[in-house]
Amino acid sequence: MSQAALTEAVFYILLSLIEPMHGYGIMQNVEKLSGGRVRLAAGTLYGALSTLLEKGWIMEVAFDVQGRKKEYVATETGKAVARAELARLQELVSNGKQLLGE
Amino acid sequence: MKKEIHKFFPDYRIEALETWLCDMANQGWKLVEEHFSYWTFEPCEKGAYRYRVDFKNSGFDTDAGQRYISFLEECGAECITVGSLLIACVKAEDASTFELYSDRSSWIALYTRLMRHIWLSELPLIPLGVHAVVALIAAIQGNSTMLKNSINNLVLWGFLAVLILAVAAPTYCKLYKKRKRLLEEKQIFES
Repeated sequence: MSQAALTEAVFYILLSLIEPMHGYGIMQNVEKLSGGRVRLAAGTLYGALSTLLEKGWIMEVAFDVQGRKKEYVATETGKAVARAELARLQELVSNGKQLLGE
Repeated sequence: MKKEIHKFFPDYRIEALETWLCDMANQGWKLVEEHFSYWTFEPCEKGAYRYRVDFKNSGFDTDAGQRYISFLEECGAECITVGSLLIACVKAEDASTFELYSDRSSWIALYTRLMRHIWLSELPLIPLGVHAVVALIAAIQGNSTMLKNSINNLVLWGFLAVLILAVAAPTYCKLYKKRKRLLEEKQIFES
């Protein structure tokens, strides 16, 4: 079975975690990447990170330089999932353009 | 100078608690702690803080709860736990709008937890309430024996139960409607 569609939040989290980042950094990065459209609330991000850790799509790497904030990074599996989602989105865009004539 | 206010909020009235704490912050009072419905505030700049409240039946003193609190604190929130409630506070300058959740699934889960809590806490009161209502109807119909027989035992507790249920019912209905709307939206939108 092909992979189910990711939520926008999860896709952006995986994109953000190509480089190690802490929770607050992810929130800021997702907002920046989406031009302010997607704003992740802390509770939602916590739930998503917990799920992604369980699935092995991300891992904890270390604490930041001040040693206070936990950092996360996407695993190879997580990156593969993000690439598969990108392919799915490209297919959507391609079919949309073709059928809507844009 | 600190200020102490006695005010009772049932756990399920988290929105009322949020509104009250935000109002207090707008008046220049920041929450410090709570003990047995006594809320202690310290002076702060007016409108300097925003509050949101989360609820978990098992509370937040568990390992998972503590990890959640640590994460919120890493994201810039100050947290206070009050029984099954988690009160998160952020500086207004850091967040024009402050929400704990930004996806439908998390809100649905929160509303489900609150509705289940209302059911579990109010369920034992329903038989008492029914008993009182039946006794009252019987009295209105001219059969006051049941009311008289009950007056010394259950019926007064029954009326108290009806009162408590009447207070909980509007919140339950509000949560039910919000949850239903989100479930409908979730059929269409992805998160």
